[in-house]
Amino acid sequence: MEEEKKLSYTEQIKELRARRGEGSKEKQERSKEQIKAQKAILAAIDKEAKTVPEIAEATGMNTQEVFWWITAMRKYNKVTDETKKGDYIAYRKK
Amino acid sequence: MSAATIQKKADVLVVGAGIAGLQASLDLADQGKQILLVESQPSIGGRMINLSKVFPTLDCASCITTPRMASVAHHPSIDLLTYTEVNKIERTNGKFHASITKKPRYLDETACIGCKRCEEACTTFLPDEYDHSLGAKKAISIAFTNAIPQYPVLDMDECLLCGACAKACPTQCINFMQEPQEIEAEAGAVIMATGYNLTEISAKKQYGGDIYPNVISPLQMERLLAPHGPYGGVMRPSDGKIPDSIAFVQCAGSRDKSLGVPYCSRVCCMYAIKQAMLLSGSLPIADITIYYMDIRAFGKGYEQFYQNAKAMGIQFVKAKVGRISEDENHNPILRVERQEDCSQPEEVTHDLVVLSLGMVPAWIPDRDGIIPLEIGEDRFVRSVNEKITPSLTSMEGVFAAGTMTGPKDIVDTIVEAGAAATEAANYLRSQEGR
Repeated sequence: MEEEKKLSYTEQIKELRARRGEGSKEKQERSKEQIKAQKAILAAIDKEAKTVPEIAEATGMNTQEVFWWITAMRKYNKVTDETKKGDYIAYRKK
Repeated sequence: MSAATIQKKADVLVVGAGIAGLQASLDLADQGKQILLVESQPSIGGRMINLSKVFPTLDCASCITTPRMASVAHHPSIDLLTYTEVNKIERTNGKFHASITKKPRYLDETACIGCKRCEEACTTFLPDEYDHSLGAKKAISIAFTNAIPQYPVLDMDECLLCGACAKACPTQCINFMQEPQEIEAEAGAVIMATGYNLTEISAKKQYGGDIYPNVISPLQMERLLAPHGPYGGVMRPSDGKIPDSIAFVQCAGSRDKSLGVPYCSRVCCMYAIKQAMLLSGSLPIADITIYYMDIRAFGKGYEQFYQNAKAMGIQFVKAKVGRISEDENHNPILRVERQEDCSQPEEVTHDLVVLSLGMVPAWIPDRDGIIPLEIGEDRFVRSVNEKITPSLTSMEGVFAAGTMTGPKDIVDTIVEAGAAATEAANYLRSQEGR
């Protein structure tokens, strides 16, 4: 299974990008959107812990999207649970 | 270009490494039989490793499954292939010949040390199917914390080709050009243990399971209740609110001819009661309601479990839920027609609703190919001697384990997996000297 691993990583990536063509640009655009969403959320909870509705209000994103990103960044140690505010957990940047 | 086809030989080919496939493999391997165990997912463990606790004992599901997973992975008589599909199984001259494809993980498994540095470096986030899309994973990720084996899979369709994973890997094991590996296997007998799926949450349009974020599946609730669940507790997907009022809608995917599932899935009442009990433990002041047609508590200790749930304050409402809508805050609104006392339809608002979906076969021979076993009216594999030897299928030398032959709970699944192993061993003995 490893016989085909003859090209360097740079060569492998170059060849696969050429095969993908325009598809590569779409993925890069999507990745930029993902980074933008994470930055906006992290900026909102940098100094003060906030709940999902509070973050949504601060960023202009919808609550469901905010919560999904909080879940994602919590899993990868960028966000931590701080306190309970009413029926919600307040999150803070790690 | 794919590498040369690999040849394998075993006494028994076991297809599926959920709890049934694991149990059947261990039972046969402990008798000295050589097993080739093939699993399509990146990790073994099946549905059961996904669950929080099991009914009626409330034992931790992972604590039961993980030791079996480890035993299988380390057993000298079990050859384990993960992330591998069985394409076809044919019987010729009394032997089974299987055509198998090992899907590319885009890394060298012999070099990977499971350090997760590739996953940390990856910048692409995707919905995590292990958490039923409630949580996130990276484009290269290990399936879950206690996955076996601890090798990641790179989702090449979603990969940015940025090279971050390759740069982070201390063993240089990433291979972006990896191709599928073809395998041909010969075995004396076959055990099929491909498990079940739940009915689609979108199947019953009037319940809006695919539209309303706070109408979730029972497997999503299992993840919310699990200690390492995606949210770190029970919250609702729309906004992270800790729910005060949770409802279960029974028979939301079973006993319904309009869905093509006229049968009872047997376990829905019990898993709903189990989840309700666990919820009342983690959210002591929440109102928990189960809307049911009738409660089917069929196993040992199950009726007592149901009575305990009632004593804990879980509300059981005999009613039919006609439809679900939602308000502007994504609170699900159930239109309920009670079957006791007043039958006037009423609308009840909850914070979170779980649809108790039914069980359907994960693999159906006439739809998915592989091996032409007969199926019953319910589309599950037909057992030719259901009362005496339920693991016998319509093909000599092919045995069914677990939910292959119909909906069943974990206890029955494990018992029938043991029975399938015994039948396979008897069959191999009967073939000796032929």
